[in-house]
Amino acid sequence: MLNPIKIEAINLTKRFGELMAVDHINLEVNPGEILGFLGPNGAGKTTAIRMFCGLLKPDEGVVLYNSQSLHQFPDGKSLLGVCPQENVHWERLTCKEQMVFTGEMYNLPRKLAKSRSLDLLEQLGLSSQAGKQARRLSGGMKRRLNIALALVHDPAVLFLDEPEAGLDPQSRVLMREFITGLAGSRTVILTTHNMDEADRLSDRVAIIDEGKILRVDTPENLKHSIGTNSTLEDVFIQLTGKKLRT
Amino acid sequence: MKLLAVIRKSFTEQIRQVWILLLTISMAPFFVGIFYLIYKSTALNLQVSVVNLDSQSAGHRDADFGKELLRYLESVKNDTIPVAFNEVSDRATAEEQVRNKQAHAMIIIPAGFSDSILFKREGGNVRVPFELSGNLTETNYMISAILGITYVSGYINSVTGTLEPYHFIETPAGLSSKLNDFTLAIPGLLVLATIMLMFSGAIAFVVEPEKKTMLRLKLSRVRPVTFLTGIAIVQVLVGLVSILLTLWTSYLFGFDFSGSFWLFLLVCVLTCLSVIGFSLILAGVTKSVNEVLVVGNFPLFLFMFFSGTFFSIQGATLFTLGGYAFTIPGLMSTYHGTEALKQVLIYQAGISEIWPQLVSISGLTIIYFLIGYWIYRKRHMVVF
Repeated sequence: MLNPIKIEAINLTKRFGELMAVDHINLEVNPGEILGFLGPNGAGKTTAIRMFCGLLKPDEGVVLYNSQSLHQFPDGKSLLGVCPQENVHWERLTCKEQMVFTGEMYNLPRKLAKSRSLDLLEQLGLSSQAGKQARRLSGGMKRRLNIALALVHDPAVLFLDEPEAGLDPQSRVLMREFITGLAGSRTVILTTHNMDEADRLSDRVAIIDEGKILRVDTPENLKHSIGTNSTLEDVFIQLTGKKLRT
Repeated sequence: MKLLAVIRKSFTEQIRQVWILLLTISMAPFFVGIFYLIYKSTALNLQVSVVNLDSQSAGHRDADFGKELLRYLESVKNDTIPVAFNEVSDRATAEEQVRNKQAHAMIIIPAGFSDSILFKREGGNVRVPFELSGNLTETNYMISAILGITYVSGYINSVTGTLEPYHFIETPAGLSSKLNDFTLAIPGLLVLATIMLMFSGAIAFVVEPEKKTMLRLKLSRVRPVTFLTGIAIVQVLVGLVSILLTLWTSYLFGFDFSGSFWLFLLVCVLTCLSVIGFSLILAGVTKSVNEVLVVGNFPLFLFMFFSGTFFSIQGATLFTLGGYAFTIPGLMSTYHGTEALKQVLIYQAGISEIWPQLVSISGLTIIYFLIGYWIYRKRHMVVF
């Protein structure tokens, strides 16, 4: 794995016709930091993340990793690991098979891909399911498999979109411990609607709405900014309002 | 090696999709069985009803040429085309047999036939009005009529001592004298085995964007050409299994394989590749397996009908290549695949005789792949 990476979004903008999905956002994520990326539905989180990963071309602006674009970065493709909101895996491959395949797609030697796969499956409580086809796993197991798939090539930057969605309390605890364990060695951007999850896991939180970054600060500072005994949800509602989003 | 990893993954997924795999590889062998039953039940066995209106010549009591012709026709044995001439008492019965398809044709030996023969023998000039009747739209009638005319003419020439100033020598082309309709259908059925790859190939290509696993491939920056080649190689293997299964089934039903096996294999691999190339176009314009199954029906029928598997189609010539006419059906590669397999399997042709077909299949394969690659990449595999 590479050393932790600093991420910078500079003036990042994306329009879909009349809709300004991401509106000139500027954001810095420090090396080894876990940044909670919060926003209501349609706020622009996913669009921004897709631009961070090179899956969507910005209309304006740039994303830099240690001051270099993804294309300039040596072996840039191995830099990023992504766990999308939906479970994305090959239904008819076993957990181990798809982990090894994903590793090989990132140029990992097959032997190394196998050992890393078994290690990650062990850490995420899936070692007993290694030989089972993904379609036969429970929802929680699939979620954990998706985290493992994002990490098999040992990326320096990790994007986690709702990592705890659909997990039971036991799995949530396991997942939090696992993500916390990643801190320091990787830069993590965590997208979630779960304020408790963001509060517990994030070093800093960025709140986005209508394509604009509204605030970026530590959870503690954000909570104190609106009063004692406030929660992150209070901060979120105060900044984004109570209006339901489509 | 990424290509090897894609092949391994695609192969594993393919064999675990048991129903798709079974349907893909078993369709053509199944149709071999169907065709065998069709041709067996419709095996050529021509029946011709003969009505004899002639009677003994009044002047010569031993001259009954109508009856003699009838016996001659009844004794005819044709090794190539089974035909039987049967006496029927009257015209109405013969007509009814033709209508009921109990007979393919009827011949009326006219009244006064014996007298006409005698008159001819004595140097007279006569034209005997033989009547042939049957359903003119049926091929079997035409064959029966030709055979009837041939035998009747031969008999009359024989009894009148007339010698025609010509005679035909029939030379069978290739193995055609040993062929039957079932054998002739086999090249088309072998190509049918490749046509099914259009669905299995398109499904293998489109399932990644549909299930969003394409995201992982895009993030890994795997080159589209590596990913698509890996899937195509597995699909070629599936196609070859299907073709060999079809060939084996044909053999069980009596098809006698002849010609160069390696040339046969080359034609099959090229045809498989071309269909897989087309499946890439199909996967490029669709977003899900359901769409593939709906949209795919249109090219499926084009491939099937233009291959000549079920009907022989002749379209307008677009251009010629080494004397080989490139027609509108030739826009579908399976047409050339069938033509090449016919040449190899039936006429034992070599590569020098089927190069225009090989060039045509290869050219169309490249065109299909280029179009398919462009559409698929643009729609499903763009990264920045």
